[in-house]
Amino acid sequence: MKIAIVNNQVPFVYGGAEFLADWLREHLLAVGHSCEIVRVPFKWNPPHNIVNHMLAARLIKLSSIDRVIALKFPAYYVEHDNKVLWLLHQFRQAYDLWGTPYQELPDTPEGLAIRTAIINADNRYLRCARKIYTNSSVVSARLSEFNGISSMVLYPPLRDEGAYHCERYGDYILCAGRVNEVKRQHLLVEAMRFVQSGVRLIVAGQPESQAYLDRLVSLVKNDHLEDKVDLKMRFVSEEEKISLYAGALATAYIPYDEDSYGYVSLESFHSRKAVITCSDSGGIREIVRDSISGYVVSPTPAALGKAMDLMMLDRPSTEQMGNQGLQEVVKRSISWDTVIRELTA
Amino acid sequence: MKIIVATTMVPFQSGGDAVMLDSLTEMLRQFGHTTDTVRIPFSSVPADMPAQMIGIRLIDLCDDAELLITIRTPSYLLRHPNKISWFIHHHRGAYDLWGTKYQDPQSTEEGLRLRHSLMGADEAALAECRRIFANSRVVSDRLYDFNGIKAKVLYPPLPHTDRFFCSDYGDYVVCISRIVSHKRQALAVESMRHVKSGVRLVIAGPSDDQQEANSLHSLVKHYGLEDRVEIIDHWISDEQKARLYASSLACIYIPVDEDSYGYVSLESAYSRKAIITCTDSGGTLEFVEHGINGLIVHPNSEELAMAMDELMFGKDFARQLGEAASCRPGEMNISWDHVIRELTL
Repeated sequence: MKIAIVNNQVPFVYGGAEFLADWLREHLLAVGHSCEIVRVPFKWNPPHNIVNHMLAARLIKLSSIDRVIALKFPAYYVEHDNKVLWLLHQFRQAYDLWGTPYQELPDTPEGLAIRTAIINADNRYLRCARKIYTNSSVVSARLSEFNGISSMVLYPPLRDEGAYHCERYGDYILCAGRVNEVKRQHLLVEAMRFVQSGVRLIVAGQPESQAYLDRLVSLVKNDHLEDKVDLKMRFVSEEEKISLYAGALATAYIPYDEDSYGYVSLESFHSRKAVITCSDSGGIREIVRDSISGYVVSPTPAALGKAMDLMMLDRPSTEQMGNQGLQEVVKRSISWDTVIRELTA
Repeated sequence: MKIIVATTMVPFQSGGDAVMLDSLTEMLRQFGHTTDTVRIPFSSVPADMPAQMIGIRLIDLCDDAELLITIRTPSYLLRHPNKISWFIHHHRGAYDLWGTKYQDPQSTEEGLRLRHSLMGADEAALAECRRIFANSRVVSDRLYDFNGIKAKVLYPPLPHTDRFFCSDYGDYVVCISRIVSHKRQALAVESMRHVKSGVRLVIAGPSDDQQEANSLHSLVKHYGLEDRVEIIDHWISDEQKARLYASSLACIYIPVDEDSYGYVSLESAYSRKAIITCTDSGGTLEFVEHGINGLIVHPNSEELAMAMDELMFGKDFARQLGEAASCRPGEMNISWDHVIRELTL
């Protein structure tokens, strides 16, 4: 099949959705499809641009293409008879973020009109897709709640599922990935004041601001945690990351209220490592079950410290939970085979 | 400088404009600029054009970069306060091909209106450009004749000149480009009926539709030219291409009325090979000088056969023309230094 993956473009920005589109393309090509990525520029400031870009996406004509797979607002308005959506998120400012500090759309008649235009367009044009998949049950639930549209969850797999593996269960808890306020690495560092088992913490990733880096460094220094905490505050290559996972005791991923389970949990489970997460972490709760594939605790240093000690002291359970994690991935059929089968069906 | 290079494209079709966009982006980066590309899908079916043009116009790139360079028509409709057009061709069916069998749209009331609005939009959007360059003298003249717009000629250089080399002057003439009727590979095949020397012909390149390639094969069979003509009817790697050029006697490139000299002329020149072209080939005539760096003949098989024989019987002459061809890009100031300087002035 000749397949076009349709995505947004914010010039000079390349993030998770762009990588997912690239990986999807790689896997479609690998099973013999032709595939090209089409990116439609999107700008939401000033807000009247939102409606213009919605219309621009709708006016694009894609000819001689057998299937369109659209990922994001407003690129998913592109017209095609054989379009499926793998929806990463709607324009949340018009939905669940409306009425919160993250609303962004102005509280004016114009802002309200834009919100109405978005909701109307979604109600009308999302239904033109042959089928809608989403990347998490949170996104599916929102789509059902706000637009009355049903969808199927299709979890995004890791780019290279086979690369992650388990070598041993060492003495450190690994927290890999982006380092910022919302991912709350500071809570993990603070938790190290409470541990008694000799377990260590490795935080690996590029910090997104100097301020947050300074905060983590001074937490370590003020509480004399140098022996217990290893801050690898830099770009970590895929190889290094895989090897850090392979030797970890378990992992920790405690973002604040995320939509999806995040690649971190998949990386962890493919490495057969249990995950510590928090009760308010959002999407990851779909895959990490308390005392079965990890620990779900309240977002406090004391509770996190206790969970880390538990991982170190009860090693048989820790290993068992790690193995169970891989089963959770298998049970949900999170794999490129599944993704390709569904999106090309 | 932060620069966006924008173009329109047809998914799954890749021509000279795509090469131009990629190589320009890459070279701007090498010259220290920060670049991103925007590629808007665009179908050239006239009835679909107005809506798509409005779509492009609605896209706002105004504060995403300091400079916007637009390539393929009608990407110059994009809005930006500092916009440059490196114009490569009109929608030719409405311009220079109007009144020929390639005219598109047709001369219905609607077609005439469409042509009128197309020209109007071209002129309005090009008038917004701070500078306008054309990729050849032919295109520059056309912009002046049809739109009264003055455009400076800026020849597109080859992306990787160092890939091409000359090993010897062998016994075959090479013809490497997309296999499509207006490149007239069939005429090249027919001329092989008339050659008196032992010269052979090697045709290589992908075909947009297999029919064209098939008819070449049957032509070869029909005339019993199997031992003189080789057809490689698929995409070949850059290395393979460079090797084919390196051992060739000369290059034959005989399109009908092309806009520009084409990458073929440059590839041939950097491989130190003479170029055989026709009096009606268009842009190649800006590059090829008869008896100096190539041969220009009438578009008939007898004259083409004579040209090939002349080079085969007189290999010193073939070498002399080829060496002169290798100096031609320098004479015409075809270089990335020049292009980047002009575009970022």
